[in-house]
Amino acid sequence: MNREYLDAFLAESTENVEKLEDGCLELERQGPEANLVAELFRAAHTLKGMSATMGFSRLAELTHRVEDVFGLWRDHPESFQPEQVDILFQAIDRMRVHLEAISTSGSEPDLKDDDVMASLQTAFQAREPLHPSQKNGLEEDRARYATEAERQGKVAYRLHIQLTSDCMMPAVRLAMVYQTLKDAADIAAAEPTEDAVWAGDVQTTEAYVVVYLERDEIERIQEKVLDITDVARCDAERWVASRGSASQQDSRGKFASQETRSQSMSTTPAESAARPGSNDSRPDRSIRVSVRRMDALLNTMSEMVIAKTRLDTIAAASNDPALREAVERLDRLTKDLQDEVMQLRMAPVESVFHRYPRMMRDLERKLNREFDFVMTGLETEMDRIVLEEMGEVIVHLLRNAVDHGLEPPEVREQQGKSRRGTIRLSAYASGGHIYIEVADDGAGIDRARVLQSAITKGVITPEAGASMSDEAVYELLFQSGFSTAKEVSDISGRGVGLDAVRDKVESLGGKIRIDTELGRGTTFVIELPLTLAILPALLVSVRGQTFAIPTANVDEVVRLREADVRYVQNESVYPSGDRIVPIIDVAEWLGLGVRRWVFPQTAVVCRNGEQKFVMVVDRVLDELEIVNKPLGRYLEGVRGFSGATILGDGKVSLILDVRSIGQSA
Amino acid sequence: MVESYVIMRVGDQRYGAHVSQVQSVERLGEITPVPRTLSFIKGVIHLRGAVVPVIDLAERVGLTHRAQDADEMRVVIAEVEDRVVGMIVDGVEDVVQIPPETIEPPPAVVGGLQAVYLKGVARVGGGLLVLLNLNRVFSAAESEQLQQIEQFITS
Repeated sequence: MNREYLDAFLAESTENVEKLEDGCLELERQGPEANLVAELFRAAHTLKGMSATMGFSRLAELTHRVEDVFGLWRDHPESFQPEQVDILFQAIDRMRVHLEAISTSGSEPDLKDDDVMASLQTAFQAREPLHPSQKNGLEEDRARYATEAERQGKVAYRLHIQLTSDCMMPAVRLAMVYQTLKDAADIAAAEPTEDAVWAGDVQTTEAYVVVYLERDEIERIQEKVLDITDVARCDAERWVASRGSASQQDSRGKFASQETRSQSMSTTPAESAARPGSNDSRPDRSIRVSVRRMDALLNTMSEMVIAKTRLDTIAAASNDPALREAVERLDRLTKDLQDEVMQLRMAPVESVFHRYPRMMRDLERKLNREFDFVMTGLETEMDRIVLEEMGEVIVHLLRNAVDHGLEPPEVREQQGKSRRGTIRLSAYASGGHIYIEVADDGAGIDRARVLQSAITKGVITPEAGASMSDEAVYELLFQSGFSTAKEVSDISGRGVGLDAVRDKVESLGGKIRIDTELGRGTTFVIELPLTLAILPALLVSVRGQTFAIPTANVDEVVRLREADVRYVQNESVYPSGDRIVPIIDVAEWLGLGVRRWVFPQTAVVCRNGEQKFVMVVDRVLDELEIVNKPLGRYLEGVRGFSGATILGDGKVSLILDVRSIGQSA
Repeated sequence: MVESYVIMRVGDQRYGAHVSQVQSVERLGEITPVPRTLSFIKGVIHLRGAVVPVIDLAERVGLTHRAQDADEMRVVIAEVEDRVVGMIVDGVEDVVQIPPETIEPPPAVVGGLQAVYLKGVARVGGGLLVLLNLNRVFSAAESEQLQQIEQFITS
C-alpha cells in the first residue's frame, strides 16, 4: 500500500481516536451534552469511513459499533449511563491497537474484537427494548426535534410514508425514499432507522421520518417522495417547539410558530455564548509537513542568514546609501522570516498533554485515589522535539504524584484535608525558557526521612546531612543509587527513577528542581530551553580551532592560576566551591596538541548532572546563539561532539558534548 | 536499459558512482576537522545550511594524491542509506552510460580496493572504470571507526 496514503490515514485516524478519547472523558464529566455527542458521532463516523476506504474492515466494524452508540445517545440522551463509557474506552484502546499494528505492518492485524464487540452489544442492546420511539412514529421526542430544528433556524416535519400494500421490494423503495429525503433535507430520525434501510433490512411498508428543512420546501419534498414508484402516501406534520401544548398542525401553525420563534430568538444568543465557536468558527486550518522538510527549510534559512551577513559586511564598507537601505530592509525581513520558520518547529504542549487525562483517570481508579486533574497553559508552545522527548518524563512525574505524592482519600480526611486531592500539570513560558510543573497537594517530602535513608545508604554522613540545605536534601532524591532502591521510595514517598527523569531533562539542556512542603504537597519544576535547534553557547578556541559549548552545561568561566591546580594521584584537579573537580585539557582530549603548562589558563567550569569538571581551553571567543545541526549518521560513532553549527562567516564549528567528555573524566 | 555513473578521478585511477546515489558535486571549500576520528575522515563541511562529513576517497582506497590543483579537486556528495557523505576526489570527469550486461564482476583486488567495496568493473572509452559499492565503502568506514573508538577508550 502507498505509504504516503497510509501515513495520512494513520495521522488522521489517530487524531480521531484522540478526539473520541477526549470526548469520552468529557462525557463522563458532563453527560451526553448534544454538541459533544454530535462531535463524537462525527469522529467515529469519519474514522469508520476512512478505515473502510483503506480496506481495514475490522477497524471499520469496531468503529461502526461505537458510532452506533453515539447515535443512540444523540437520539436518546436519556439512555446514557456513565458506566457505559468504560466500554467505550475499551473500544478506543482496541482501535489504538489496530492503528499501531497497521502502522508497523501496513496491514490490519489478525485481531478478533469479539470481546469488545460483545461488551458493546450487551451494554447497549439491553437497552433496546427501552428504545422509546419504537412504533410510535417518533412521537416521544417531538419537542426535542422541534427545538433542535429551531436552533438551527429550520423547521421540523414528521413525514409518514406509506408504500402500496402490494409493493414488491419495500426495502428498496424505502431506501429510495430516504435517499430523496437525505438529498433535500437533514434526516434527524427515522423509523425504521436509516442504517436498517441502507442495509436492506426492512420488511415494513410504512416509515416515519423526522426531517429538518427550510420553511417553504415541504411541498416540493412531498411531491418528490410521491414520485417514487410504490409510494402511496406521504403525509407531513409540522412539529413546533411550544411548551405545554403537544403539537401544531401545519394548517394552523402560523401564529403559534411566530410566538415560538420569538422565544427562540431570546434563547439563541445565550446558547451560542455558552458554546463559543461551536457553530460557525472553523478550527484553524492546517497542513501536515514532514520533519525532514522542516529541517530543509531551516537549513535554507540559516544559509540565507549567513549570505545576508556577508552582504551586511559589503554594504557597511560601501558608500552607496541605496544599497545600505536595501540591506537594512533585507535584514528586517530575514529576521521576521527566521522567526516564522522557528515558529514552525513549535507545537502547543497540548499535542502531548492531551493523552494524560485518560491516563490519570485510569491511575485514579487503579490506585484508589481521588483527585481532580487540572491542566493549564495547554496553548504554550515549545520545540516539537523537546516536547516529544518530555512526554515520558511527565508521565513519570504524574504517576509519582498519584502513587507517592497524593495520600489515599481516607488518610486525607483523617488529616483534615479535603478527601479529593488536586494534581496540576502546567506549562508556561518565561524569560526565554519553558516551564513545566507537576504539582500535587499531597503529603510533601519529609526532609528527615530522606536524610535518614541517605545516611543508612551511606550516601552521606550524618554530619554532612545536618548542615545540608533543604534544596540539597531534595537533590538527593535525584541520585541514582538513592532513588532506585524501592524501600527508599516507599519511605520518602518519592523516587523510583527520578534519576532517569533528571538525565532526560538535562540531556535536553534543561533543569529540574523540587519545591515541597510537608503535608502541603510537592511541585516538580522543569525548566527547558525554548528550542533545541537554537541554543546559547560559548565559543572557545582550542589550538586555532573554534568549538561551541552549550551554556546550559556551563557554570562559569574562571582564570586558572598555577596555585589553583592540585594533584590527586597525578591527575590535576581544581577545588571549586566545596568540591574537588577534575581538569580536562580540551586540546589534549581532542588530540589537537599536548597540554600547555602556561598560567593563567582559561577554564570553563562544566556541569553534567551531578558531575562537575573543568575544561581548559585556549581562549573564550564569544557567547552567542547558535543553530544546532546534527553531524549525521555517518559520524554518529564519533564521541565528544553533540553536533555542529555554522558560524556567521560560513565556517563550521563543532559543538562539544559535555556529557561524553565528562564521562571520560 | 543503461545505467548512469559519475566518473571520479583519484590519482590515475577512475571510479564510478551510480548517479542515483550522487546528490551533487561541489568545489572543495573549507573543511572543519573532526578530532578523534579516522584519518581518512577529513572533517565536516558546510553545504547549503547542512553539515556534511567528508572523506578522502584516495586515502580510503589506499592511494596517494599526486600534487593536485586544488581548483580541480571536487567533493562528490553521495547519499547512501540515510548517510550523506562527501568524497574528496581529484576531479570529476563525466557521466557515462553503462549497459549492466557489460559490467564484469570485480577481481579480488583492484586499484588497492578489496572486492567488497566494488560493484564491478566496466570498460569505458578504452580504460577501466571501477564501479564503487558506496554502501560498503561508507558502512565499512563506520565499523572501522567504531574499532578505533574502542581503542581510544581502552588505551
